[in-house]
Amino acid sequence: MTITGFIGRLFRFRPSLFLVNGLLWCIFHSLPLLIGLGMQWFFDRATANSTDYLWLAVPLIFIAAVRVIRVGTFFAAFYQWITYIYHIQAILRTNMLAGIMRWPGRNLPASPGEAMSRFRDDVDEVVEYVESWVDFWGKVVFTLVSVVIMASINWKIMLVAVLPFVVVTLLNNLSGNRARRYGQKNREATGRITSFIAETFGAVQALKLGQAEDHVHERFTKLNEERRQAALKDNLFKQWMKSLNQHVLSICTGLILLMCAAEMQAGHFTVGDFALFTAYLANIGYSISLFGYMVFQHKRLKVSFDRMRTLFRPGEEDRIIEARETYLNEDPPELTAINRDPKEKLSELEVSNLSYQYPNSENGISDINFRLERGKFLVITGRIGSGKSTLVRTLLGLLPKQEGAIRWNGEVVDPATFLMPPRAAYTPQVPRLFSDTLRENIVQGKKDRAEEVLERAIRLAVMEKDIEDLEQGLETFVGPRGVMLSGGQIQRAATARMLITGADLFIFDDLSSALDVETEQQIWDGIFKERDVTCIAVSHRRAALAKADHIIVMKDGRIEAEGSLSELLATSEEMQLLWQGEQSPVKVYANCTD
Amino acid sequence: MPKNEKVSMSWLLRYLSPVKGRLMILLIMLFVSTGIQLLNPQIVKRFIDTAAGGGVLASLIQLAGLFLIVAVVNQLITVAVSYLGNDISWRATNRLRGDLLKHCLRLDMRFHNLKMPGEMIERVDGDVTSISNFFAMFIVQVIGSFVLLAGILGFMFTVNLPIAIVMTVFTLVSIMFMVFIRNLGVNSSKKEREASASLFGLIEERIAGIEDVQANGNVPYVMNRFHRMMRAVFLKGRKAWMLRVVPWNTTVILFALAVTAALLLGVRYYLRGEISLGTLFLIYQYTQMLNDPIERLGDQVQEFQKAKSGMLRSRELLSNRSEIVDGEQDHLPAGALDLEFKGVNFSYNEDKPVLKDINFTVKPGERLGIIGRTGSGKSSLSRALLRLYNIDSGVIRVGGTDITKLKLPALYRRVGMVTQDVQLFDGSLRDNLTLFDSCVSDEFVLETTERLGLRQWIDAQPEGLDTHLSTGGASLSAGEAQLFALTRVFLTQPSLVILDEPSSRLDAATETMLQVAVDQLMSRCTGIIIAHRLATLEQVDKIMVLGDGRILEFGAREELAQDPDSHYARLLMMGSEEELA
Repeated sequence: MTITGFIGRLFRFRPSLFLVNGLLWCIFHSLPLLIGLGMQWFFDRATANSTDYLWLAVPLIFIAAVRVIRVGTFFAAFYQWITYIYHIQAILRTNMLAGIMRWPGRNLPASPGEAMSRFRDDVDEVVEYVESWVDFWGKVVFTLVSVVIMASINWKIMLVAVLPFVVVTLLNNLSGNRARRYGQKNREATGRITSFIAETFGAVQALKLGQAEDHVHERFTKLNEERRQAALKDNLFKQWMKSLNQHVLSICTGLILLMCAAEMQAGHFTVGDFALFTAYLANIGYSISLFGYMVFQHKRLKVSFDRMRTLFRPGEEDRIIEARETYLNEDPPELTAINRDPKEKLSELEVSNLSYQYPNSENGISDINFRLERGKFLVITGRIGSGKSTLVRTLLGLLPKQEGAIRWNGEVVDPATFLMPPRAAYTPQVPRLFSDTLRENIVQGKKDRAEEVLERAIRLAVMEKDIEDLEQGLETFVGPRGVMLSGGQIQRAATARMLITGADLFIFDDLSSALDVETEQQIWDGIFKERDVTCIAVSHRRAALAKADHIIVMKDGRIEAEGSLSELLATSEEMQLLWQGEQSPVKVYANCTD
Repeated sequence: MPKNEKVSMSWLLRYLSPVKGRLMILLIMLFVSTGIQLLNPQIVKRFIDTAAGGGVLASLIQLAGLFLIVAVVNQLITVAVSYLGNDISWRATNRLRGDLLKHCLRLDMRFHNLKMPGEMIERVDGDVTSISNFFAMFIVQVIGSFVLLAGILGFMFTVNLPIAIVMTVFTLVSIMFMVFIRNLGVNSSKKEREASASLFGLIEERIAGIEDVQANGNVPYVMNRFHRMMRAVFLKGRKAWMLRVVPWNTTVILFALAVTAALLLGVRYYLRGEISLGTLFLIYQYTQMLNDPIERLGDQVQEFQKAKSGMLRSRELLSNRSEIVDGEQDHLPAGALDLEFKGVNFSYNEDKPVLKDINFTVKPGERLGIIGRTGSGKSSLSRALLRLYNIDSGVIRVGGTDITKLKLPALYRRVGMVTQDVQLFDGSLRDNLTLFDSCVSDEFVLETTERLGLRQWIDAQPEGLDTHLSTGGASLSAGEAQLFALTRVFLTQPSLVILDEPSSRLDAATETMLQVAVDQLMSRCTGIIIAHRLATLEQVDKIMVLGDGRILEFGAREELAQDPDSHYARLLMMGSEEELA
C-alpha cells in the first residue's frame, strides 16, 4: 500500500466526518473573501467623496458581522475536527493493537515501551497530516476565488499568483528524502526514550537495589540529548522549508505591489482595490505555503506509516487502515461467551515432526513427536536450555513452527488460532498479571456463571487461604505485573486464570517454580480429582513426574528419551541425573538421621 | 488561586535558569522582528501615498525592494526564533524529564506498586512534552506580543488620539479577559492527560504480557477494555479542547467589535477632513496588525491551559515524598555483615500484619535458610530488610547499625538481593549485567559469569557482551534470566546477600552445578536464602521456618533435621514420601 492509498482509505474511513470537516473549514477559510470584498467596498465608498456617514458605515458593520459568523463557524468546525481527530487516533490505535494481538507470540521490533511511541507520536503525525487536508479545501476555494476576483480587477495578477505555487511545489518535492531521514531519526530517538522509561519502571526494584539510579539517570540524559538533537534538526528543516515557501511568496507579493503601483498611477486601480489585494495576497500566501508544506508532509508521512506497519504480521500490514467499529460513541458490546463445538472436544492430540530454530542461533527444537489422549498427563522435563519451553510455545503457536504438524482429533490445525480456549489454555513460565483487581485478573471479563466457575478455579489453584488473607480479598489491586502479590500467589492466580477457561487441554509451563512442595502437591491432587482433565506440564519436580502418564525428556532440543517414570529411571541416564538432583534433600535427611 | 499560580511558575523557572543566555538572545531576536513588523505598514503607507500622488516609478521600486528585504529578514528571524525556542524547550524539558525520572526512582515501592510502565511514559515524557511550549514560547511570545501591542498602540497614539484610546481599551479588556479565564480548561486538560496515561498504561502492559493474553483467549477482553478507555480519552479530550479554545474565540469577537468601532471613528474624522485617506488606511492596517498579537496571546492561553495541566501533574509527581527517609550514617564495618531483627512488625496495609514480632540474629558469614509456604512472609522479610518499605515497629540492624539510621546508598552498596522476578532491558548484555554502570570492567564481568556458568552462553552470542538483548530478553529462557540476576548481584560484591528463590526455575542438574559457584561467591558474605526447595538449603547453617508472618522455628539446620518433631524435619520427610509414591 502506498501513502496515497493509505490516505485515501483513511478519508473513506469516516467519510461523513471528513466531509463535514471539509465543508465547515471551507466556510471558515473562505469567509475572509467577504472581509476583503467588504474592505474594498468601504474604501471605494470612502473615496467616492460622499458625506453620508451611515452609507459609509454599512460595509464596516457587514465586515463585523462576517467576523462574528466566522467565530461561530470556527466553534462548530473545531468541535467536528476534534471529534475527527479522535476517530483517526482510535482507528489507527485499534488496528495496531488488534494487529499485535493477532500475531501470535512476541514479535515487536523493539520493546513494548518503544511501541508506545508508535501508538502516540506516529499517530499524531497522521493527525497533523490530515489537519492539513481538512484546511486544504477551504484554502483552495479561497485561493481560486480570490485569484478570480483579483484577475477580474487585473488579469496579470493571476499569472504572478500561479507562479509561486509551481516553485513551492517543486521545492518541497525535492526535499522529500531529507525530510524523511530527519523525521525517521527523530522518531527513533523518541522510541528509545519511551522504551527506556517503560523498562526502567518495570525494573524499579532491581535498579533501586542495584544502586543504579544515577547510572540510569545518566543514560536517560544521554538519550534525551540525542532526541534533542534529532528533534532540532527535524524541526529546523521543517521551518526552513516553510520559510522557503514564504520567501517565494514575498518576492511575488513585491512584484504584484509594483504592478499595482503602475496601474494605480494609470488610474485603473483604486485604493479599495489595493486594500483588497493586500488582504488577499497575505492569505493566498499562507495557502500556497500550506500547499507546499503538504507536499513535504506527504513525503515525511512515510516514516510514520512504515513504523506503524511494522507492528503487523508480514502480509497483514495493510490492515493498519482496515475499517472497523471504534466504539467512540457508544460502549462496546459485552463479551460473548465462547461457543463450544462438541465435535472439537479433545479426544487425541498428535504432534509430528515439530521443529523450530531461533533466528541466528543454533538453539531450538527439532523432530518432536508425541501423542496425547484425553484424560492423560504428559510431563516434559529436561535441563535448563534443553528446549522445554520452546516446545510448549511452538506447540501453542506462540513461536511459528518451521516444520511438522499438529493434529487435533486427527485433523491438522493451526495452533495459533486453534489452541486457545475453549480448546486449550496456558500458563507461561513467568506469568504476568495486569494492574487490576485480583478478580479481574482471573475472570478476564467473563460474565456467565462467573461466581461458580471462579470459586472452582480458585479452589483448584489452592488460593482460597491467600484470598482470605488479602485485605480486600478478590478485590485487591495487584499492581503492575502483580507486584503486590508474592511470586507463588502470582503463579497460582495465573493458574486460576487458565483453569477458569474450562479448556479441554491445560498447558502448564513450569507451574511449580515459585511454589513450595506442599502447595504444589495440593494443586496436582486437586486437578487429578477433577474428571477428564488433560494436561501437558513442563516440570522437573518429582510431584509432577510421579503423577505423569508419560514423560518426555528433552536434551539439546530433541527428545532424548520418553516413557513412564519407572522405564525412564531404568533406561535414561539424563532422567536419572535429573531425578537424582531432585532427590538430594532426602538423601541429606537420611544422612542426618542415620 | 493567584498565589498558587506563582508557586507553579517559580517552580518551573528553575529549569529556565540554565538557558538564560539563549532566552535573552531569543528575546532580542523577537524585538528585532517586532520592530520590523511595525515598520511594514509604514512602507505600505508611503507606497500608497506615493502611488496615489503620482510619484516616480523609481521610488516605488525602491519601496517595493525595501518591502522585500524586510520580508526576507523577517522570515530568517522567524526560522532562527523557532530553532532557538525549540532548543531552549528541549534543554529545559529534558532536565525536567531527567529530574522526574530520578525522583520517581527514589520513591518507595508503595508508589511503584500502583504505576504501570506505560503510564509512567506519559508522566515522564508525555506530560512534559505538553509543557515544552511553555518553556520555549510562552514567556517569549507573551513578552513579544506585549511589546508589539505597545508598539502598535504607540504608533496609533501618534496618528489619532481617540482611536488609539478605543484600541487601548479593547486591548486591555481582551488581556484582562484572558487572565480571567486562563484556567478554564486546566482541569479538563488534566483529566484528559490522566485518561491518556491510563490508555497507554493498558496498551503497554497488555503488549508486554501478550502471550498470557493470547494463549488464554483474552484478546477480545483486552480489545473491549481498550475501546472503553479510548472512548474515555475521546470524551475527556474533546471537552478539554473545546474549553481551551474559548479564550481565543472570545478575543476574536472582541477584536471584531473593536476594529469596527475604531474604523467607524476613523470614518468620522475622515468625513470631517481631519485625516487623509492614507491615514485611514494606516489605521485599518494597524487594527489588522493588532489582531496578530492578540490572537497569539489567545493561542498562548490555550497552550497555557494544556501546559498547566502537565505542570500540575509533574509537580504532583515531584511533591511525592518517599516515606523511606534517608539516615545519616555512612559507614558499615568491613567484611561480612551480621544481621539482627528485634521485635519487627510489618504490614503493607494497616490492619493486615504480614510480619509479627520477628526476632533473630545471623552472625557474620553465616547462612540462613528461610522456608515457609507461599504468603508466609518470606519475601516481605527481605523487602523490610532492604528498606523497600518501612517497618511498623521494632529494629533491624545490619552490621550493628539500625538500618533507618543508615544512608540508603550505604546500605545498598553492601547488601544485594536476587529476586524471582528478573527484569531485563532492551540493551547490551553488558548494560543488563552492570545496570549501566560503566565502571565495572569487562574482565570482572566475564570472570563472574564464568563462575556462574553463564560465560558459555555469552561467548555463543554474536557480539559477546555487546550483543543487543532485544525485547526484554525474550530469547532468554527463564532459567538463563535467573543466572543473569545472580551475576548482577555478585558483580556488586555484596557483604550481605539475599537470594529469594534464586534457582526456582532451574532444573536440578543445573542447580547442583550452580550451587558450587554460589557457595564460592558467598564465602565472603553473610547469606540469606529463601527457598521452597529444601535442596537449595543443603549448605546453610541455620533454618528459619515462617508461617503466617511468625517464626515457627529457628535454629541450626542439623539440630532441626534431627529433631523429628520439627517442621523442617517434617518437610524433609514429605520430600522422601513423595519419592516413595
